[in-house]
Amino acid sequence: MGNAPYPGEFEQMVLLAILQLEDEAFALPVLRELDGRAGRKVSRGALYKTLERLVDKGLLEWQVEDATPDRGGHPRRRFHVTEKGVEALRASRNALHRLWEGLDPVLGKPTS
Amino acid sequence: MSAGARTPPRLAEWLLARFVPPGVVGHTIIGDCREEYAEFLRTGSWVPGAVWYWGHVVRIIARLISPSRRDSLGVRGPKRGLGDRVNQTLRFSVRSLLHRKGFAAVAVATLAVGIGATTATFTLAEYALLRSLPFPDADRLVALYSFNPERGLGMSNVSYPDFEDWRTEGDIFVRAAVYRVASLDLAGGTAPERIRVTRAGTDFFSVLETRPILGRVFDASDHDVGSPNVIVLDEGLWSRRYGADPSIVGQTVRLDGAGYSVVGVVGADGHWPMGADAWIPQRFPGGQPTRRSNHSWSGIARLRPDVTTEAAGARMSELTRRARMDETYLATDPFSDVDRGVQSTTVSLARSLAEDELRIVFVVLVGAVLSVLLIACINVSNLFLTQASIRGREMAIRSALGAPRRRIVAQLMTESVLVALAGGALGIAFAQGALALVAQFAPAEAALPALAPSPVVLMLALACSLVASVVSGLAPAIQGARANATDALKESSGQTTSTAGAQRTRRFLVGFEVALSMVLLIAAGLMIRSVQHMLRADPGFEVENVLTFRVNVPAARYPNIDDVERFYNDAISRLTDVPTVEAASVSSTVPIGGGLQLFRVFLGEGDPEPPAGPDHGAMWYEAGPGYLEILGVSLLDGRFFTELDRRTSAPVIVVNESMARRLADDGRVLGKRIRSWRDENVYREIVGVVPNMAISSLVRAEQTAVFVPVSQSTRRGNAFLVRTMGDPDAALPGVRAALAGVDDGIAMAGTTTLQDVLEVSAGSLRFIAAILSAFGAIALVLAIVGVYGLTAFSVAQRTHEIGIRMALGGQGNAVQWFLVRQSGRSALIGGVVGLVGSFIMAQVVGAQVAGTMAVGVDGRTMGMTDPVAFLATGLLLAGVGLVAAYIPARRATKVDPVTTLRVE
Repeated sequence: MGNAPYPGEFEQMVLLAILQLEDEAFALPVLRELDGRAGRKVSRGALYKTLERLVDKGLLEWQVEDATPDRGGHPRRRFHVTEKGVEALRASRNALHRLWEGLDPVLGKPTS
Repeated sequence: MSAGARTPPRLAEWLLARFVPPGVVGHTIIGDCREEYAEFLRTGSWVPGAVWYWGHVVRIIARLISPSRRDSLGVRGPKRGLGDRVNQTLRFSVRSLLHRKGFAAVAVATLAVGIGATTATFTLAEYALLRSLPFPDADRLVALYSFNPERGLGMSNVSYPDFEDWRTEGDIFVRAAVYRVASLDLAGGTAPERIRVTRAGTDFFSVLETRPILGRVFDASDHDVGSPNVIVLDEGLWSRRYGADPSIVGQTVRLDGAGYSVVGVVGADGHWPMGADAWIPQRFPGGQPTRRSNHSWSGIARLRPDVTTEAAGARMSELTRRARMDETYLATDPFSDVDRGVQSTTVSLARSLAEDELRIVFVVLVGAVLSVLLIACINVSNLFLTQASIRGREMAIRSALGAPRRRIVAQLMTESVLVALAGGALGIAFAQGALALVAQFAPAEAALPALAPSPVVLMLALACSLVASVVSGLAPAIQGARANATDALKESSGQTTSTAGAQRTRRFLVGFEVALSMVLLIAAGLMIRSVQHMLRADPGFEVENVLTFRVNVPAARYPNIDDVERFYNDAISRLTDVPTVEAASVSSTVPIGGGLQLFRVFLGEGDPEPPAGPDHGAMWYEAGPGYLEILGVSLLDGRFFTELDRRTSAPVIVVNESMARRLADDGRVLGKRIRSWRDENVYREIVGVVPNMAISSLVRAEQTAVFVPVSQSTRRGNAFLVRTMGDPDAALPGVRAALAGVDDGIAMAGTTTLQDVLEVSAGSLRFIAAILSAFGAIALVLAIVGVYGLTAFSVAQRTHEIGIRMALGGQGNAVQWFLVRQSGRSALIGGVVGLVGSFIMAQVVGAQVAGTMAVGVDGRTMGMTDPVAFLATGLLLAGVGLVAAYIPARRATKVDPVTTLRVE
């Protein structure tokens, strides 16, 4: 898959949600972002697995933040999309864009 | 359970920690779960929160361990060491259970029903029997009692001189106090109201360590004779009648015509005795009571920290005994001869609340619910057994590949522990719902709040789950481990194997299950029949269209007893003038509804005093003319009271049928004279005999009773019985106006109808029967499902054999009958054992509840060997067993033999 593998559809959604959240990209806000913006109800287990996979692929990295009182002393992870991740998203978007082109008569205009 | 509310269920979190990736990643996942749980709690309560959390944890674990791409996740791989082996077993078990979702769901749901019912019952039992009182160090608080084994007298109140001895010389109490309860009329504001007032002795509130929520409680000077009248109100009365107005302190309220200045308000958590509306200080204008044989005081005390209740009782009895040997007492106390054998004891205040009857009821309920749990365990055990048969080949292969036997046992046991824990968690949620339902439908007089399982009960539920897992998992685990690899693999006919041992175990379990559900169902059946019987039982009088209420004629405004008599006469004549009123009368006691409950001992004229001669005990009731007509009771002999029976006329008495037979073998007692020995001690002529009526209580067999004219008593408080034309409620305004016409300062208390009184009295029993029926129904469903499932499975296992039989020319009917006979046998044996067990249970329970559940007005008791209950239950279970054997047998013989044999 070369040095910037195409992420899968759900992986892309996760990466995009993390980019949207900027400094607030913790696991739970990502879940809410996916639900709110993309209308995807995601199980926690699925999200955790995807996050680990993205880290393994080098598209995502995280740093540990201090616990809030609600977390009973457990730390939390703030996620960042790596350069490689941004590159992969860009490549994916370009590829898709080329494929989408000229299909509006069939699919209609995109809705937001 | 507010303590555990902030943190999620520990067990679930512990489980989660076993499965998340190691190190900081795992911690962040646990932290995320906590954070979501905390958010959930902001909107919901902890029980749904806990259920939600468990669901989440299970889903996360399922996802984390799902085999696909597991390697990329970094979940701990197989490592050496005990901890990792445990983890591996756990993970394998979870995965194995998730693989068989249907089986796991049924097993978890079955256990949840059993554990839920058990948790709910334990919570109710704990509340009813062991609830702690809201006072500081409530376990040090005791109620004081005297009793007289020589005279066969149970727990009774204490005498004041005894109490003073214990208090001053006993060295057993930190503090002690006496009190008495009275009903008084509270006037002022809206309509007058009868309230329950406690006359509190010195130190009463300091024994309980009650702090007022407003103002103060009593101090020593409030008990001085001649000091101003003061009163402390209960929070309930304060908010009900005075709108929780804080300026009430310092105001004056009128109690039975006298003014009392309010000094404070006591909150619901400083409240004793139960149901008190207000407290006034006990004073002794004539000096402290000195007669030792007068046991008329309620006593409470706070024990010293180093004194046990037993030691306190022993020391009190010692002082009581010493006082009974005193020369002056023997010479001066008029009742020293019968009072001599008196002893004393203490009972923890909390326990003194739980009546014996209640205790027996809960023993029965706990026994019943444990049977339900056991039946649930047997069902789950059966499920595991069938699973073990299905997975025989899997186990055999694992064993052949070198898996040690203990690893297989460990894995199977882990599965059952997981199922039991999940069942326990779900069961607690189920219990919560059940308790809410119970609180909603409990009889009003039980005043049952919505309860939540306490930490102790939750621990018990956990223990039940673990025991259940052992009970339901052990046999299958051993069975599974015993699977002989060669035999299992030799079986070529399908995926299932079933050893003779497994079949034996299953047959035994079917029999056991049938036996157990039989006992439980019969117990429930007996209880239901008991209540039905009771509700049908004729109380001995007519209850339709009778209105009743109590009044008290205060001494402050009616100092002379003749005035009291005039009041009652005026009231009766005004009441009968009301157009909707047919008749009115007065009595000391509302039938079944309570009131004066006096038990007195009678001697016939010329009889020697006991112990030389016999005495006759009877309930003492007072009634006015027209009493019998209103209750629709006809005389058996002689006459009832008339307007001519007055204070000054000859003393008369009417006895009931039982009493008449007690006094004379042929029941002919008219004209005889009897006296109530040591009480009134006046000879009264028997002028009439009435049938037995259930006056004291519907559930207690009424025995002997006497009636005397209200006009020949000095009692100020009585109940009115008013027979109305049509709906009693419609007549109420007229009745109220008629009474106000005589004296508008007299309050009507406890206004109700006899019909309602009867309903309420039956309510508690009906409620208990309803709970038992629910248990019976659960047991029945579980038993049906269990027996059916097992039998069907056994038959299904023999499809191959049936195919051969049919192929060799076996007749469908004959083969069916053969199968039904084989499967039905264990159910039948179980049924017989169950019947025998039920008889034993009925004897034991019958002996325990005699008197509590005894029904009837003439000493008739409900037979605990009621044939209908036994027969119906036996037939029901036998039918289920037959159907359970027949349906799968029929299905098996209908299949084309070629199909069944093709599996080969």
